[in-house]
Amino acid sequence: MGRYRLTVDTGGTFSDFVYFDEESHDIFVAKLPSTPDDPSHAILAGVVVLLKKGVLPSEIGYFCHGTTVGTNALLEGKGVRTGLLVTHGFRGIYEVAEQCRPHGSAIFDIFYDRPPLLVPESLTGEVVERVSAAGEVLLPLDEAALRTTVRELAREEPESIAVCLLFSFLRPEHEARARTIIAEEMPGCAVSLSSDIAPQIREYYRLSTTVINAYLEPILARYIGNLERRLSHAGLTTPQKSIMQSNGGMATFAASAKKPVATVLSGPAGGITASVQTCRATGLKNLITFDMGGTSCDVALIKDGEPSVQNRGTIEGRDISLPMIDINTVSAGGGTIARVDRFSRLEVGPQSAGAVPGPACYGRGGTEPTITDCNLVLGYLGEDTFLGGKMKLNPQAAHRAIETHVAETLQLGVLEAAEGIVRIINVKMQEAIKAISTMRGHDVRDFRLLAFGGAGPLHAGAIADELGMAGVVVPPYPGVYSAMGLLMSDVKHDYVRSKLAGLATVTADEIVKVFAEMESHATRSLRDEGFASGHISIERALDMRYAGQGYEITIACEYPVSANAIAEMRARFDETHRQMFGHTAPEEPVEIVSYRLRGIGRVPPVEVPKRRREGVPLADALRERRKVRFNGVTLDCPVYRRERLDVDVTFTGPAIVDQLDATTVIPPNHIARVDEFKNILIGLGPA
Amino acid sequence: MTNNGHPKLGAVDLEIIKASLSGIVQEMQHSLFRTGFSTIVRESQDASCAIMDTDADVIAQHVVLPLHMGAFPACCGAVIAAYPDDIAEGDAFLINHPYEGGSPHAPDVAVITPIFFEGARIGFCGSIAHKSDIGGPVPGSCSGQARETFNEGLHLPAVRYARTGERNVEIERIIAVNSRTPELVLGDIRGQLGACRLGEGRVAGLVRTFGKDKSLASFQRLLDLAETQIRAAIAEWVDGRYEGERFIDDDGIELNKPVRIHVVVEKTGDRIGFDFSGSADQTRGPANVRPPLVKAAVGYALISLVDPLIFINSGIMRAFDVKTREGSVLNPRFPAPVNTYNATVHAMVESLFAALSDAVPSRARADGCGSRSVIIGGRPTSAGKSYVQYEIVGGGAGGRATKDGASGTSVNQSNAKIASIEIIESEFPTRVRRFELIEDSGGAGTFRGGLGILREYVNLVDARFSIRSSKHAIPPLGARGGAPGRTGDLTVNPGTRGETHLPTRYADYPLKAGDVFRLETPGGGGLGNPFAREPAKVLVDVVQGYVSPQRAARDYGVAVVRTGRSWQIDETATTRLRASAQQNERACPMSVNNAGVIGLGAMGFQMARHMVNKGFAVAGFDVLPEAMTRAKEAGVTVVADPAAVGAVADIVIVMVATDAQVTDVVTGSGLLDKLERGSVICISSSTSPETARELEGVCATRGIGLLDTPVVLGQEAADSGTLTVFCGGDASAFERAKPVLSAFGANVMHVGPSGMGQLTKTANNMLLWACLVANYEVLSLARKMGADVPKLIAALEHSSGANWSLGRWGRSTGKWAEKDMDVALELAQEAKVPVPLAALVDQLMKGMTREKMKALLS
Repeated sequence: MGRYRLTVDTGGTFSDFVYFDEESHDIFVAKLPSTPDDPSHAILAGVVVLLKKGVLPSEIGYFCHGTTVGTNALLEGKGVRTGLLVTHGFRGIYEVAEQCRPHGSAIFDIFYDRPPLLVPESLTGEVVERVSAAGEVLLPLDEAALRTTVRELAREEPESIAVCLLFSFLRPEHEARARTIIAEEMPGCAVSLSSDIAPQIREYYRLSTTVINAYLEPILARYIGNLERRLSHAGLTTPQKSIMQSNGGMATFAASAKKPVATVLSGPAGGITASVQTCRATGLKNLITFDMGGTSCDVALIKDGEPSVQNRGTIEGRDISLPMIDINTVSAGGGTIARVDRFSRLEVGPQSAGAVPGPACYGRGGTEPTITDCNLVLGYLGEDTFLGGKMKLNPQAAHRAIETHVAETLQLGVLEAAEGIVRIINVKMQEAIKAISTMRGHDVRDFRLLAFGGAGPLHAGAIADELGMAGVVVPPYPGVYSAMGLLMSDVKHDYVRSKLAGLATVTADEIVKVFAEMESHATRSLRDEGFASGHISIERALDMRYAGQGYEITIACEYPVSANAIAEMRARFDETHRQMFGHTAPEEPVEIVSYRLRGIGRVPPVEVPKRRREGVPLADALRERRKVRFNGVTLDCPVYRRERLDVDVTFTGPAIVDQLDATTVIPPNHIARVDEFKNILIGLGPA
Repeated sequence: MTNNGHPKLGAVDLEIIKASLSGIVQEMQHSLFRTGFSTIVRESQDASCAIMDTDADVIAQHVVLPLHMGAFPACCGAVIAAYPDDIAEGDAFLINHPYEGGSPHAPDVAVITPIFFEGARIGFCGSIAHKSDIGGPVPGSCSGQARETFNEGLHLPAVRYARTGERNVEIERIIAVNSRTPELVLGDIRGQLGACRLGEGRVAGLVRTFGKDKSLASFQRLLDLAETQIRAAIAEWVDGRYEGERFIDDDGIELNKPVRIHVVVEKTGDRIGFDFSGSADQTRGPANVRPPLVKAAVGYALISLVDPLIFINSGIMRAFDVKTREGSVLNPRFPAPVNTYNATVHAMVESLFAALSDAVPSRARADGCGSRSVIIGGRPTSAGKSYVQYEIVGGGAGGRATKDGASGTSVNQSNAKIASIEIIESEFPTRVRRFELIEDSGGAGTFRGGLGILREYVNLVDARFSIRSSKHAIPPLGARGGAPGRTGDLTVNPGTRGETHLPTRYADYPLKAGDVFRLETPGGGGLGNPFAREPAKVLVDVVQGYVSPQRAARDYGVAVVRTGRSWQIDETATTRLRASAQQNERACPMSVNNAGVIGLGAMGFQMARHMVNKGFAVAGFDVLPEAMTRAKEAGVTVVADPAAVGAVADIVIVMVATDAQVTDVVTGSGLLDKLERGSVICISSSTSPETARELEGVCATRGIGLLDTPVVLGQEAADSGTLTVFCGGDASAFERAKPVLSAFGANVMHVGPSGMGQLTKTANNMLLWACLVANYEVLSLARKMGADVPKLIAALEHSSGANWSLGRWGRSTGKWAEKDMDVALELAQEAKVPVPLAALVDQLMKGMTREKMKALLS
């Protein structure tokens, strides 16, 4: 492996870079403007930053990339023309979807619509075949009819075809034949089989996942191919090039190009991965991550060093049935707008000014007051230090926006109004945190809030205080934390296979047989990707449920499997069920629904360097003092430079810490300490 | 409006309190989902949580079920009424009684707990959750054949469930022995109690933070704001009186008897009232709903029309008045059954939308599919337990003011997920054969109705089958000239000799192993004239298989043709179709093109002639060859028998002489076998109301509508196409048949349910003949006294004694008087109403002739 690792997280406005030197363990970061038309331009510019330091391209041994190319294509409806093949008689599966509307306002909304179909009915063909719930062929595949159907479909010129046949997770042969026939009749057309992408029970979710994959595959394949070529051109030839997935793991360029659906919810995953590393480094086991950016705020829970994972998620109403980190998103960011309605109600969000026009203080044409404007007026943000001084903020514009749109109407002072707006947005974020913690049976007092994203460290102190959390952690580079996570992520391939069996009747051999097949698949893939046996590990789990219930709980499966181990799993299932749902039914039969296997290719861990105290006094870090508003009182508050804060330095709020990519607010009476990893730990007592 | 004495901080604190309340009810809901025992609570999420003030008004609710907006205050109010001075901290109450409280039906059990702060009661927490079984004759406690609430499971009035934190075990034991699933029910109730306790704690915490006075004032302010917001929106609507009406197929007991839901909306300024008094009498079967649900249904409709994002609380309910008639289906007297209320609620919501679509045109919407469930029990499952296969299936939603209705969806207040086929087949001895949207099932319109769902199953082991559906007889209606959606159907062994259609609500049908059953769910109604739909959209519909090319031409006037492998619009043909449609617009806005007439005598011939002239394709039959010849010359396609008329026509007019002939044509001619479902037969012959009602029942079992459509004003009006037509029967059948009836009728009026057309005609005839004998008497006297009778008549025509036969004196005959008066006297006898005048008229008319009348003029 080369000496350097390079990671890039491409966002809508900025591309964040982290460079890691394996020898010196030095980390440095860069933030460059994104190039949305062709993200690879910005990526190459980031490579050049490193090369300019005298690094040879051949010294870059590891390249890791977080991308939203797939996500954006899906959200903007810019995937390829896609066809779909379903079992004869079942074209209703896709269009009916779940049939219901989301809970909440949609039930009242006459104009609510599900997202438009990615494959129209006219591009959907039927396949004469049928497999039973026992995996038997009830009706053999009619190959001649299939060929005719594919030819008809070919006239519609789809670039990609999804195939989802009933019970294909039990008997994938018919889908496999379909792939062959499509290849013969439509050479070059991409094919996504449901038995490859998500071989699990519940036809609609499997179909939806497969269709999204088909819809994006040519887009991501082109993007990755293009990026690969450009990187090679720049001399960056390492085979260790990978892309972040929604499960918090990496996949190689080649694997990602085949399974783009696994990347579409990967945006916040990097930050969570970095947080898991922070757990390991600091020994703090329980964290709630708090990633607040310009338009939204993502929160996730890490318990005992493990992020909470879910096996199904949605993006804009489309269902994806793949393992992913469980993240709760609320519309709350720096750009969130405050308005007074005609009933004199002060509403904060969900509208956002986004990056353009952005907050009033950006001076890009925004006139409505946003959270960023409030933070500026309250003194939390400095007008000259935003983005390391590269962007000057206009406090007058912020003041005016709050005054005309909120303060005057409500007969409030501008500061009062700004403080009120921030309190309201904080309450909304607090409720989002409760939704993933207290509402799922966790006690927030056991958790610290790990704040990152451009705006996270501004709000974390007040929020943790209100919630009675154990404290706040602000990592060294909160503004590029996601890119930091890319540096620390292993390659993870998830496999699933549904096969219903009563836990009381299934034998250890049967379980082993299912896993063995998946395992050989996983190991082969990882070896092909260059991982030595010593760096490969396998995790197994079973989705189980009380017979007849409609939801499953994933329980880790110890290996080797024995009758004893099965009995233990049963006990753990009951216990987990009790933890999650408050009760258990040991007399009820339990079923295995799906087998899950994760193949992990371990990337050598990044040793986050421990720093020693250099003896720099706190006073040396003081940039200035400014007036900052806390709880209705304006206080004279020190502003420190983050990079000058020495290890072990301790100070009591109120205080502000400035750095290139973020600003941290330490409320009055909170005690801040810098640890040996340069995290700022904030607590109400001695941290 | 005051700002509660905190004009400055009010807005911020209020918003924070509001966000916190949202969080609290959400946390209560999560707690219930997490700790509730049954799958109904966890997966169907058939439960909601709320916080109420001391007056039982809902301050905040996590809305999963819109109907609970009405149920919470009623349940909480019942607790306050039952324990006025005896509610202490740590208490909890149970109530599931639809009459004592506001529970929609027995399975929906409410847990109510008081919230105390510093020793004073400041409000209540509540939770309502559907129970898997609360006793009664059938598993699940929802018997479509219940005739009293006593058939609907265990009912608890407001009873104390916990005292100062201790649960009352006796009550739990009573509930347990009454339920088929005692662990699930008690588990859920305890989960509900836990959720309420959590809410109590969090509300108290909130009050501590903001202070009691400010908190309670903020709660009231949130109620005021919701009311203000609704009123402000209402104030912008056009003032007026609006009316809406819908019919439910039946009540489960009296099959083929539609149940009327009717609302009059009076709106002035920011005040709005809803009067449902015109709705049907309470039903014998469980289609009734109690007034709290009526209120909730109105609340649901208003939120949809005003702002789906409004903060949900009882303030919304303060913005309107509701009136129901005691003894009606919407305010039944104890112990009328209520358990399958959902179809009634859909009809209420739809009548509201129908009424208000003119007031709020931007949110107009046609009818949707209603809701339905199928239940298959009595078989072993893969897990060895006798679980019941229970599925809730949606259908098409109605076309909307700016877009098409959604296909294959839940609608209105219903919102269940569809079951996974792979899960069903893995668990139950059932195989699914088809799962598709139904082509052409969406009502045509400028904005098309969504498509219904077809699910076809093979049952593999003998089983018992129940269905609780809606809109199998009466389709989802269109709006603003849009066509109705296709009706639903449940067919056992379709296409075989044993093919059977089950009624809308049916329990315990024995399904044999190998039986196939096909559920077809209704499509949504269309909105707006289909001929105004952009041809490009019709083309897309044809390409996507939502609309067939035939229906594109027929319903939309768009000729879509296939050239090679692509579909295209034939512009010339489309222009022609749409132009001819414009000419016929008055005649056939509902896009019925094919009509028929059976009985081509003097009246029937004229009717057929006018129908041909208005552009209908008319098939005709008569027993007399000369009548057939005459009709053929007028452009009628004459066919061999009544059945052949049925094979081609959607609307059939029957104009024969006697009751016996009418019955024979309808039931004995093969006509019903040939007619498609959704067709309508119009009996224009005079018959007894009873005959009409009987025949309507027969037709309804086949999904065919029957109207009694007697005509008045006689031959002259028939010749000129200006008859008056009195129509009795189903409103949707009337809407469908109206264009055809309008071809020969200048006034075509819906006067009520089946038989009412005939009754109206009899009423008319009684007046007609009474006037005629009175005229005769008066004119005879006047003539004797030397009056110039024509001059006298001319003068009287402008006086208070004027009447129809007087103005046409000498032109009328008394030909049908004897038959008419016999019918009238028979009815009077049946009704036990004395009609001395009619008896006299009957006698006097017996001697009356046209000559005698004419003679008075000379």
